[in-house]
Amino acid sequence: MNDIAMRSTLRPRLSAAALLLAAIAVAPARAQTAGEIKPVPMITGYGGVFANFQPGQQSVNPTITPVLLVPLGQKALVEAEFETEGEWNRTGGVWGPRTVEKGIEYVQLDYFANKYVTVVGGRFLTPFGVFNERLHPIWVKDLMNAPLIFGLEHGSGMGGMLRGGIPLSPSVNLNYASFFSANSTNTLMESERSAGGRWSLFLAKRRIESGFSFKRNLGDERFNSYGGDATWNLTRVPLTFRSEYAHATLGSGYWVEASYRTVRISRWRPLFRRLQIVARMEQFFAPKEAEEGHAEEEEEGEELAMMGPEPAGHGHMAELPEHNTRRPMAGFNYYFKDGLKGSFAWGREMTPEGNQNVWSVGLAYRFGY
Amino acid sequence: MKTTAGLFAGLTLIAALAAKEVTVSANKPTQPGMAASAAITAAIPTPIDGDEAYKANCSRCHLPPRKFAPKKMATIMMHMRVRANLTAAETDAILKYLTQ
Repeated sequence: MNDIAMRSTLRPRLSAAALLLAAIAVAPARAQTAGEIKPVPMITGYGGVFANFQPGQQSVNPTITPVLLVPLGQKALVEAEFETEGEWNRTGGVWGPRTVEKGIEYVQLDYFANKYVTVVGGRFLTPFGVFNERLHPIWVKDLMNAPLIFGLEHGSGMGGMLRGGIPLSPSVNLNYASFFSANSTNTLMESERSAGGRWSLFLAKRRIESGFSFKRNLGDERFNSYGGDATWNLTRVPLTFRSEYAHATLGSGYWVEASYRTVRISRWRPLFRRLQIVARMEQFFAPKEAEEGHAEEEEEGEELAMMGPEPAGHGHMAELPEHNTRRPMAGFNYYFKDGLKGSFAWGREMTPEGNQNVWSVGLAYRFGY
Repeated sequence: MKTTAGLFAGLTLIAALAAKEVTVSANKPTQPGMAASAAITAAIPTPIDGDEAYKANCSRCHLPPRKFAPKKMATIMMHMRVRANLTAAETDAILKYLTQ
């Protein structure tokens, strides 16, 4: 075989080998399956500022809430949320002192016992209703003003909880969270002795969830609280309905909310693809004793009554209204970029004391490192 | 107190039994002749569409979140498994969808 013949034979083989080596070198590693991805510790959370304006009273509430997530292998997770919320009120044209509230919302160990059961120990958000556990972060909630009934469900427990999801059929999941909480008087981690939970049916294909919550307070004052909630994400249009009802000795009430993403409006795309319109109707029914007590205070001409109703459900650490209150609200969110949104809302608060407008603006940012 | 404890225990027991029932029913053939095919079916878990699971579960509370590196996304999914009461299969399917 002469040189020319040898070269003509070797060249294609060398080229093929080179191509093979190159292909091996540049080929991506075998795609990782979900179970092979090792979780790492991270800090996530959210921050923002929220301002509320009512006749004679304004407030500014900056907040920063870091969340620490530390996986212990793939079977357990330690998670903690530390909330710091400032409050600066202006009443009758005079700014009051700035106050800062700090608290540990949760610091818990989650152990994934099996496919359907997670055992939780430590301090956790009370699973009563959906707003407290899922919707309260300012980057999540569609209206910055918390619902009037938020004070009935807001809180954390200290103890143990079993929770998870169980597929009852291919289209229906049972979601459950059952807890027991001990009493704690620690200033950063207050909790009351109580037991209860939330149980819901989730129709994934229809994107409908309906839940029931129950809580029994087992402290010095023993009473039951119960509630219901429903969520419906329409699949054909970017529209979501949410609602909650809660009843306790401290009062009862409901809220119904609709939010619509305007992404499908073809005009003014730069604006509408980032916009969300929200409307909520809500009502709070104060206990009769509270209403009567307040009426007596008014007759005695006490200063408290002269100051007018407290702003209700305006911030995260909401207080319950003193009167029967009805409040329609509407607003919008504008998503500047991923994780950063600006919010604006207007509402009309109607009580036996009188009606007044409520305005709010806010900025929320979600971070993760 | 007794009523509360009973209710708490009852609901937890129902949840635990339901979990057991789902596990057992996945492995139990309905007829003797179907044993082999049932065993094969049980060995292959029903696949969950990650895209569907993501849209159905995550949109219950929030808009699509930003994407993180796979290892961080795995941590976030552990967090969300607890928060949203996801099953292990749903968690894996959503994580796979978000990291591929």
